[in-house]
Amino acid sequence: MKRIINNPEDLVKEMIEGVVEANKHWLEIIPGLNAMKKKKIKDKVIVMSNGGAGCEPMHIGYVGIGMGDATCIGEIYTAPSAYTIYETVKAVYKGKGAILICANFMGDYLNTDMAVELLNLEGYRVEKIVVNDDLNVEPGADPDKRGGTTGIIYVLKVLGAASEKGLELEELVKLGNKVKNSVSTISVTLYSGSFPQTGELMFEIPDDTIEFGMGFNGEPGIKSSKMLKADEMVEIMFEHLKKDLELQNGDEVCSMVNSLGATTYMEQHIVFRKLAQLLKKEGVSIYDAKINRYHTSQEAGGVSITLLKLDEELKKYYNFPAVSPAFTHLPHNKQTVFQIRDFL
Amino acid sequence: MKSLSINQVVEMIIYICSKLVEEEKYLTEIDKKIGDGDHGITVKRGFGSLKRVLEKKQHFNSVNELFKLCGIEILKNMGGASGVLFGTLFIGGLKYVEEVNYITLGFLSRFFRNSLQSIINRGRASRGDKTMIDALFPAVQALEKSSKKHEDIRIAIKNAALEAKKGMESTKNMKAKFGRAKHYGERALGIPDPGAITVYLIFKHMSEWFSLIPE
Repeated sequence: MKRIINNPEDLVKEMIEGVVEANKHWLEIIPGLNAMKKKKIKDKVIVMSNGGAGCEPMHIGYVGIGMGDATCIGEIYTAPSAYTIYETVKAVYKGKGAILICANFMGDYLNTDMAVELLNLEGYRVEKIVVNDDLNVEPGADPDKRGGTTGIIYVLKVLGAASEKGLELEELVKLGNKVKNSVSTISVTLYSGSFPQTGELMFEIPDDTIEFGMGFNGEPGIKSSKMLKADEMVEIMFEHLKKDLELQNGDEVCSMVNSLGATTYMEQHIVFRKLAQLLKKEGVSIYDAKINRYHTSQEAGGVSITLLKLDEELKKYYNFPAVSPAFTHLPHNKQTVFQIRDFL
Repeated sequence: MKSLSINQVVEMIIYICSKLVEEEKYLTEIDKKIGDGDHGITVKRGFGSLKRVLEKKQHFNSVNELFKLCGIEILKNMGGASGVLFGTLFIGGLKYVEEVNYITLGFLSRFFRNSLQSIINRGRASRGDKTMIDALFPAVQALEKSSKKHEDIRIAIKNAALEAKKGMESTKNMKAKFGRAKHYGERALGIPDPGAITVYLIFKHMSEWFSLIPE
């Protein structure tokens, strides 16, 4: 696979420089680290996520108004070190606490947990939320075996808004865990992406085969199948999500159809069309639908579907405006509209 | 011998680091059979840079401050899961112990007990999973036993090193549950866990250092 890169060692650094330059009115680099932050952060609890590079726009795209306050990025598919996370928090801390959000992968969990301990030792009030939305195992299986993916965006969205509204650390941890426990994701992978440093394929799937619940580096998932029609794929995915979230008539959800990289706008909307039909049939209404690339595996083929089951509290914070490089939300109703310029 | 001053602890850690760096090839050979093949390089990177920092002869107000610096250096330079877990060996015990400017056997055994517990919690592993815990666990038990009997610190460390060795050797017969080693299944039998070897080497060289200094 051909790639548009310079020196392979500089990928992460150059990407951060590009993102910050493109959003220079409200973002800046934290010097000496592969990390960035909002230029202006209120006196509030810090909310940030971290993780390895390679799944863009994951992490790097979700720093902004009503979203994360900062992020630090590891090398390609490698968690940032505990030390980097620790320094990033110190660069943005406002004295009211911080919440570190990461995916439930060994490297991310270990480094985030270690950073929390170091910061606590120095008197910083820091908590972590380890997100495990991914159905890479059957619903009901050991939740520790589940990875984290696009669910992180919803945790950032809700906590970003709630922290701007002045909620305290303990309240935010409770709220963040509520999001974590109300969100579920399932993917279907058609073919592998390639490592950006080398252009080599990460894994191989036979041409006539698709994989449900596969990890973004090819880790085995729930099941393989022969190639299916779009509607059949979405039916299988929806069954898993419905079971995992125990969806019932009258429920309300936010939905996210995410391209794993190569899957097109056209295909994503064909997927969403079927998803909307299935939800309607179950009597579940969609409060807000997002369709884009949110968490990729480079140029892998496939999609993931994420559903967030809402209650009034989650809906309230979800419906705040958000402006970040890869996730923007405009409020639906007049009651919650407030002036974005208050934050600039 | 009842206690060590901060400067003695610094010397001891420098000694352990320099010995661990020399084991790079051996650790790499073992890890090639069972893991990513990078444990030797990782250990060299982490403990090598710790040695360089300590040789700059900084002033430490407490042993706690020294241990924290050691942990941070290892986190910064070792990387990966092993960086975090060996960093935890130095940092994980800190929040449970008093601030001191010398080390006694009682302090050391309490400190390592808490580090061990932090490693178990953080790594979500237990004894028998073919990890560093299998060497550290019996070593900590030996320290506690010696501490209860008010033994000399040299004898205590020597016993701990012996127990760590036995623990390390017991990992040969275990199937791995973590890291790349778990994919090797039966093929990992007969080969000890590289993390457990490193723990054993730390205690072994600690004991060696004691034998080199005057009473």
